Amino acid sequence: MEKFIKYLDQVRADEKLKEKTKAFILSTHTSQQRSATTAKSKSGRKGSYAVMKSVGLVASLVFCAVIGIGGYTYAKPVSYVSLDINPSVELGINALNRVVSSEGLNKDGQGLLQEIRLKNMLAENAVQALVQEIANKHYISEYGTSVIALTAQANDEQKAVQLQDRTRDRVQQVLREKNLECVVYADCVSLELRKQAKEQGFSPGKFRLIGILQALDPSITVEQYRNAGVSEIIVKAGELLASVDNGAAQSGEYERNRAMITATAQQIMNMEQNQNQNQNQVQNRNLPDNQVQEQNQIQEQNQIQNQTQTQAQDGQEQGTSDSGSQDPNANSNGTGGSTETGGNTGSQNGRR
Amino acid sequence: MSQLFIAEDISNAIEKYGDMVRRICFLGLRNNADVEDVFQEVFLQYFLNIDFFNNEQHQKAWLCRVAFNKCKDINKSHWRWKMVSINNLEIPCESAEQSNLMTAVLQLPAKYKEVIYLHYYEGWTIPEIAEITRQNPNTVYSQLKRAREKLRKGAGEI
Repeated sequence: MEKFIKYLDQVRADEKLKEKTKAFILSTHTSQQRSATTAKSKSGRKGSYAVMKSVGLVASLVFCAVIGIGGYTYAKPVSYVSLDINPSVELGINALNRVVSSEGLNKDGQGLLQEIRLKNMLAENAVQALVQEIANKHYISEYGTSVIALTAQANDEQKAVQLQDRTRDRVQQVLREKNLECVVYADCVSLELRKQAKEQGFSPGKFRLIGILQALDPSITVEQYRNAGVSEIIVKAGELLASVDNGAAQSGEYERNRAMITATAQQIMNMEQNQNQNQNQVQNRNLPDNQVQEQNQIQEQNQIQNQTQTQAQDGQEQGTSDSGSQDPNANSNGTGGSTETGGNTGSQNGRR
Repeated sequence: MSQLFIAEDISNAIEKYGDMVRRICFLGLRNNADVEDVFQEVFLQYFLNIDFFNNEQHQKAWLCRVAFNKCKDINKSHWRWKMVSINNLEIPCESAEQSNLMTAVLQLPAKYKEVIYLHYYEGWTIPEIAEITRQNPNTVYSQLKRAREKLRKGAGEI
């Protein structure tokens, strides 16, 4: 150990270091005298370390909180849009109107979602992309599906209606671009109904339509329509409405969708007729070019028909907003949240 | 305290304990800038607590403790811990054995270096070291034993 001691003996503080330290301490001392008493600044020095530490802690906590809350609000869907064509798809939309989750509600829908990425898109754009994809895959024309049911779901009625309108516009835009003839049935429901639908394994739009059917004909069970297409349900509803439509029992929940359903059912039936005609013509001629022309002509005709029907609908919607009455002819597509409870009791009364 | 008195007091302390603090820095640190920092910090702390000491022994023990702790603080920084390698010794050794020994000492963990220094260089007894480092004397015994074992392994004879 002597070697150790010997070696350490050689280690000495050089004069430069000593002088520097003296100067440093004296300068600290004078600056301390200027600022405050020794004791105070001593605690200040210690305190500053503690303060810095706690400031760092607080800052990191705030950072975490901001990231956490921000992430949560971003990732949490506040409203949903579901599309029922043949593929049923549901999109979760966050407070910033971006798609944060997507779920296929049947096999086709799941397959479809595997092929396109919708996350972080604006809701309208996502719906547009979806419909485009669906059109490209010929779900709309080939499978005879002639109804796109678009259902917006949000806690706030107004928000749901806004979402519904925006997305419906986009769907129609795509259909125009693709030159497809298709009925768009747009509706909005509350999140509560969505929950019920989910529990029973339905897409909310379909569940609501079935609910309407049940309101019209209490003998109908949910299970009966589990595998039915949306168009089928709407046609059925239209038929039921026509048969019930005797002026007496004309209030209730279904009433809000009445005009819409009647119009949609009418459209569907028109289109089915057209399709049959098309098929006949194809069989007769077997000429693809002509067929396309014919189709186009028929589509044009349909468009004209639809336009007139939509205009009629618009008129009815205006009637609702003006009067807010329960007149059967003046009801729109489910936008009158305020009348809902009244409507419910009304429908029950009506049925009895 | 007048400016003059303080200046005198500080320079006395630095003259008296400067070498000791420098040695502790030499054992604990591998970087001249750090040595300077710790040196200044230790004496600043001394100056700030100047009214607190009972006697010279207390003063010396306190300075040792503060110096070792400052070195530990500096070495705590992960960056330093990773970045700084063991350089060559700053003072040339007389023999290969001495060089081996010094390298072995410098490679010891901080707590063993502390005990080795306090015991062999400053000549404190183990109960005294226990008091300075605020540890159980038995802990100090075993630390010293382990330190010696390590040195024996690293440098042969001690």
